[in-house]
Amino acid sequence: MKETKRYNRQMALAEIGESGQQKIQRARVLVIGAGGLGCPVLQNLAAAGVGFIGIVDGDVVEETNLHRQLLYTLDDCGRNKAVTAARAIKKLNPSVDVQVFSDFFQSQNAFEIVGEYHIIVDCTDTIAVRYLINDVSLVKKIPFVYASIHKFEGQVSVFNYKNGPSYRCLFPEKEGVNAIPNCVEAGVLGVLPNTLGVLQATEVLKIILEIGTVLSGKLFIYEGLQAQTQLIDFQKNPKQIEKGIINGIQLLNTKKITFSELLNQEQFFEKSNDSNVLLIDVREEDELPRYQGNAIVNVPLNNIESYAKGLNIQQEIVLLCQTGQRSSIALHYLKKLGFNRISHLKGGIQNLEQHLKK
Amino acid sequence: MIVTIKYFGLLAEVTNKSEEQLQLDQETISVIDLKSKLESLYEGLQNATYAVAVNQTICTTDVAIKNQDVIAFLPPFAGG
Repeated sequence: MKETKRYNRQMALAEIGESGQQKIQRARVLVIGAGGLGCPVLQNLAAAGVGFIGIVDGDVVEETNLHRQLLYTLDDCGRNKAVTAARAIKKLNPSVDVQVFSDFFQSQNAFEIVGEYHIIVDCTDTIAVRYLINDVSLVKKIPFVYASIHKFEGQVSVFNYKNGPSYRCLFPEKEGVNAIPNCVEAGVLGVLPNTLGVLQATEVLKIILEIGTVLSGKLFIYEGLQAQTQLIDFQKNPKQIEKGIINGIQLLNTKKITFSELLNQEQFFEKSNDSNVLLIDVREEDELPRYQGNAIVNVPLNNIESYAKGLNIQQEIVLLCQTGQRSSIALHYLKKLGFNRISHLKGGIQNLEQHLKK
Repeated sequence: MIVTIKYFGLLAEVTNKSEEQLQLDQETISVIDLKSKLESLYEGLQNATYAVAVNQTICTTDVAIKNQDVIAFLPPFAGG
């Protein structure tokens, strides 16, 4: 095994040794969310020598992230988190293979992303996504290591580990659960997610190494202000497991709606007649010919990012320009901002000219 | 009987306390009855989602709570 020197101190542990380090190197771990929890998880897993790490995040780095998301610098602001985090951990440990998914984890891409990973680490900040992660993890029969924070408190647990309890067993899904505030709304002390992320990384390594007692069926609670911890036991609830499996399998069997990003003329006209679709011309205002279709907005490429920030991320968007080049760049920008129902006109308005002349 | 209730996360804000001791006339109370008692005391609990642990174990709502038990109200967190 190459580079044993780097891992010498952890290999010196009787519980790890050379065979343990090989297990770490063979592990494939998917980290969903590269924010407050994701950063310390990624740093520690990369440093420990986890051989293959996936990073999923459609978000971009913002200055307000920097007090807690220590993989990023001021220069990274505006860049996609998954891409930036990948670069940072590759620098930390070049022997780690990193797979980047610069999209948000959602039902359309969930199974595709999880693919052949052995362990999922849930570092997201939305309850709905946790149920999705839970159900995919159940169907794939791989564990997921959970943590979540609120102000000065955090929770850690491991779900679906060796047929153990699920997230649903602890928190059955109820309407209105999504109203629970995340860090943006509630605020967070910068060190707190780092503490919790390190605990998640510890659980990941325990699972890989098959040592210690994994937090399966146990909820670990940390409260920073009083320095208190609690360990709460919980049981498997067969009804909740069944619900998760049914959901997950339904998702797996749903015909994948592959969103075609490149539109031919017919597809373009069809979309442009759909009132739910926002049509954006990304050329300058004086470029000809103009498209004489239904509602169309003119947002030159330079302004597209600031314009899109005022839109709902679920909005379906069709982009067009003169030749299809600028619309393709605009599409790339919008994807980075988290939009995923976007397409653009192949060949641009030149491609439509004949039709326009008719 | 006397029981100790611990409130976590958002619930500590809803009740404005992280812990309290409750004196009850009866010798035992089910989790569901305790929940409705506290939900009438603190309106904010009514719409909250949370699991209930009795002496560090998550319980179904029919479990009977006894004197000196420690009950934790645990909401899921969203932050990451």
